[in-house]
Amino acid sequence: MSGYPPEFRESIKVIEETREERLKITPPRISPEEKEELLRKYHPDYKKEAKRPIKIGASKGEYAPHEVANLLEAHSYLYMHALSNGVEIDLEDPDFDVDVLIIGGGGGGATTALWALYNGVPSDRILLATKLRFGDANTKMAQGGIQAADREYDSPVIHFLDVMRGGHYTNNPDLVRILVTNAPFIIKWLEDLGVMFDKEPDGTMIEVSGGGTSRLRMHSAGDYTGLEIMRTLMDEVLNREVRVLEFSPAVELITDEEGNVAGAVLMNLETERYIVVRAKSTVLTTGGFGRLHIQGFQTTNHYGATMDGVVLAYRVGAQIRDLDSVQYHPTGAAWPLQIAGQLVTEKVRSLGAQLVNVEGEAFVYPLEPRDVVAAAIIRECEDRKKGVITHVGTCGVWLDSPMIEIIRGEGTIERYLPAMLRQFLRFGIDIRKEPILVYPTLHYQNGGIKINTNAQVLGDGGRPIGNLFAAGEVTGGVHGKNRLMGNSLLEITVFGRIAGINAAKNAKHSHVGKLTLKHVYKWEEMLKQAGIETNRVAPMILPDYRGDVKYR
Amino acid sequence: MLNEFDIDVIELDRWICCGLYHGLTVDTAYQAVAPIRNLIWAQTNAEKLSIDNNYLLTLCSMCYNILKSAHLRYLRDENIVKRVKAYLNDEPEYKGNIKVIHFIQVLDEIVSYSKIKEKLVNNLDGLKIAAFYGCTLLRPREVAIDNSENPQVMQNLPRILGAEPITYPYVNQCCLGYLVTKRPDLVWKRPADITNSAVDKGAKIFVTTCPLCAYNLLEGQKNVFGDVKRSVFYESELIAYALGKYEYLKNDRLNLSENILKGV
Amino acid sequence: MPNTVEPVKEVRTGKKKEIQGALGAGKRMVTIYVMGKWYEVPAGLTILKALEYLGYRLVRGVGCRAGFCGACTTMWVKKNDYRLYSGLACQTIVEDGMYLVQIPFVPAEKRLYDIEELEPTGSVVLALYPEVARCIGCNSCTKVCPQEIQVMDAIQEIIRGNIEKAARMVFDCIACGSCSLRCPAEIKHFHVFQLVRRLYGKYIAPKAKHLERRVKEIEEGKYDGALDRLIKAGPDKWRELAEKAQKGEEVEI
Repeated sequence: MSGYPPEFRESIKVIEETREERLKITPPRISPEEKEELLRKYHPDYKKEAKRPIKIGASKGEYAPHEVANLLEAHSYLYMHALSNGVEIDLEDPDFDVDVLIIGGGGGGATTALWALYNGVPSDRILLATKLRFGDANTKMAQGGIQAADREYDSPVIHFLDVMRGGHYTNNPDLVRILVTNAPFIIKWLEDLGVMFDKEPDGTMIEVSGGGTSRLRMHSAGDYTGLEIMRTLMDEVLNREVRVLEFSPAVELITDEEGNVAGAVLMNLETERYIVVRAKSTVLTTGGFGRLHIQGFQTTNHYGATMDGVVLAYRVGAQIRDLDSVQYHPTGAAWPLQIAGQLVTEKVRSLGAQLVNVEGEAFVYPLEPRDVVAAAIIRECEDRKKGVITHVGTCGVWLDSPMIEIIRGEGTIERYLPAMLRQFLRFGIDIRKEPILVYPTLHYQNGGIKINTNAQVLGDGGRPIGNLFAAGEVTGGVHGKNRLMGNSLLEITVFGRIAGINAAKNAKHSHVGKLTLKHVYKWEEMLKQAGIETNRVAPMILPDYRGDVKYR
Repeated sequence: MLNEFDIDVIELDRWICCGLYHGLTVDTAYQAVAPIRNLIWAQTNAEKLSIDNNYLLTLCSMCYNILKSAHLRYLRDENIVKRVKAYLNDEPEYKGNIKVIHFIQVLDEIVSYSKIKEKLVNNLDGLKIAAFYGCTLLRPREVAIDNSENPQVMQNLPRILGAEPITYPYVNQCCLGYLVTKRPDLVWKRPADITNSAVDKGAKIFVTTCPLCAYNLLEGQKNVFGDVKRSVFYESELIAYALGKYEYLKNDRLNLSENILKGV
Repeated sequence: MPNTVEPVKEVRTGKKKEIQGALGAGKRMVTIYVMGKWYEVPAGLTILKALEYLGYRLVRGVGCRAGFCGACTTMWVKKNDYRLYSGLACQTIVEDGMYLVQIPFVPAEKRLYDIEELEPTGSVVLALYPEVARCIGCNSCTKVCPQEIQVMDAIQEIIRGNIEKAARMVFDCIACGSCSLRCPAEIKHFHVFQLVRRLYGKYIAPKAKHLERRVKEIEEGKYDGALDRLIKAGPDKWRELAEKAQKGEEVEI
């Protein structure tokens, strides 16, 4: 199977024929009123049937997609597999006793580890537990860039406004303030670690625009920005000899008699044995929920993105927000089918490619915020029927990548989008000469666990839960209802740092009492009281694709 | 500097370490993989730039030896051809027509002596030099650039330029560089002996073409005598000085004349 | 060794009809060997999906499923072909007769260092990874690289001390480890490359001066007043100013 099938040829011809004209025009921007209507009618988040209010817990009554609510209204994995089965979890003699336990080995976790180190926690008093390999996270897959307002023509104030606008003004302003004012510092820190940012010969950062950004402030490293940052952070964490426990996801947090978090129970994925970790500070950096395939969408996320962290925190009383705000990246690959849903970076649009329907019209301004573009593409396919239909019935519109070579010169794609180029060449498609077929794909968890400006997890009444911190995609409030491109890599590093600093501080004076799993029994009781009868068990840990060829 | 003699030297666009270490392996086919790959790249380069003479110039005696030996073995041994081709299945086939030559051979065979004499600026004025070949330029017989027992090619040009090459028994002796990491105790004695012999015959400096020999001669003297009794210069440096081409000399050797005259 | 008995031709009952087309699965079946056992899977699936189709629930050998993380390194041989092939399971489509080996883990020691104490030279890299000098030029590394990196050439550039050139050459490395598994000199290329990239990024690439300036400005509180006022002003004001910013206009608070 190579290249595009003959039935797409005609459509591609229309794209080629209209290209010259389209190069001269900019598709019209959408007004705020039109935006509201577009989202309401076509964005998956607005489908009332797709979500329901959560029945139990600290955020009872908040709306969440069914797939998410299902995981929150589920039995404890540990309870079902161990506690109710007579399997003993020995809390009196923990396998590890540390100052800082970090759950999740992506960019957030790595940053937390380093800043805990810098703030005085010895490397053997830190434990980084991760579900798959260290670094296996959505961080590695982020392609576009990381935002920071470090130019004369830009400022953190404008960055603040962009973030707010993207999030529909529902973001927590104090968190956004931290995000934008720490951004340049983080970039500098990464530069000093050795991250190979794209730069001019004199050292000036090359910065491009992104969807919803009003200034050029997207820093990048080719189209491997996430990979470059992640591997640099990993290298430094390993150099410092922080202990990393791979293939050991957390299946339940541990609390003490006073209800403070006191560590976690991990499970060795290969032996299915449980590991008890006692920790003075616990940090959740577990990432997102793409593998829940909300509303049946394909996803860009990695294998382990199953919302474990939210489940864990929810069980100890954490509040959540905006879990019904799901970001669908507007351009996921729609062809070839083998890579369905895989990310086609927004950078393709930043560099000049337009979104075009089968009639050759550029139907939306390519750099609107993601939710707007996604809704526009869905409208094009569903309502206007101007999309390309594949032989299995899926739909897509064209992303006219050859425009980039024309606008910015031959060789641009090879230089700035090597990952994209290679990805499609593997299947016989040369994106320098042929457009890319795209459709929205499940991409990012906009909401999550509520945190304060110290990265502490908030429970009842907005009070911090003792000894528990969180940073990154697992948290909510930074991006409001919709994240802008380039702010995710920023969030994990800015808040990873804050979590690390504060976890270190906390560990110096926190007191961890007797370890218990009381909250698990309490949870099971709550399920019963709420009349929830189910076989579901959470956290999910890994998706189950056995016998399945629906999802990539 | 060869430009001075109307010789155009073009650097290969792709080359890898000649496999010096693997010249010491027992497996003669493995040994040939890297050298033959370089020869193939030289071949490709020559074809691309239409260089018909097919010369591949090496500056280092070790590289010369490895490349030339591999080339000769490839022409001679069917088995080696088969095995090396299997490894080098990502390259075009080696046609066997690259002529590996050493810098000294260029000076001796290609450059015109009369032309050089015209450009003489600093007559070397009877300066006594000890040419040191080491072994890689002279052994085995099939790659030797001159008579192994009484080689003269390195001395010919300096003689024209006014120097007086001495005759001494260590001119073609191995410097024992191969053992320098394993048995330094054995190794340092040899350069010391070489130096004593050269001093004995009145030489003021060593002249060589191999960086390993140069390194060994210098380190050996430092290790045994505590100081360098006789400096080591590359033949190209000597010629550059003689022709007044100071811009070709490395900075730390710019006071060549003084050093030579001082005899240190 | 591959089974010389002809594979069972009966089609397994159940899901075959449903899956045709999905994720590229065609009607034709191909035979692959997993851990030496033969199976029939629909042509068109990637190796990864073929394994899951067969009922394997993967823990090792799977990661981002998109070609970025190097977790799913897979090697295989084909019938009557002595060569060893390598690729990413999530990006490679199954072929008839593929005899597969999933690589759960690449054993490769990473040398520890303090980047603050290093210099960006070839000798520094060689001091930490001396086996790099053992490269014999066989190019096995390049032949198995799923990212089309000229691995051998990059190693040679490092030997010659051209850190910048090498860093750029190996930028696309996803550390899958295929190269190290094949290298007769036992070089751990991806660890070496990581060091080289950091040396370049930290020491050779020129620093961004505007970045330094802005960090200082923020530290000195240049934007504190404006942000205080802005946050106090509330969502309506944010909306107004944000739309102004979108148009490229100056923003005053």
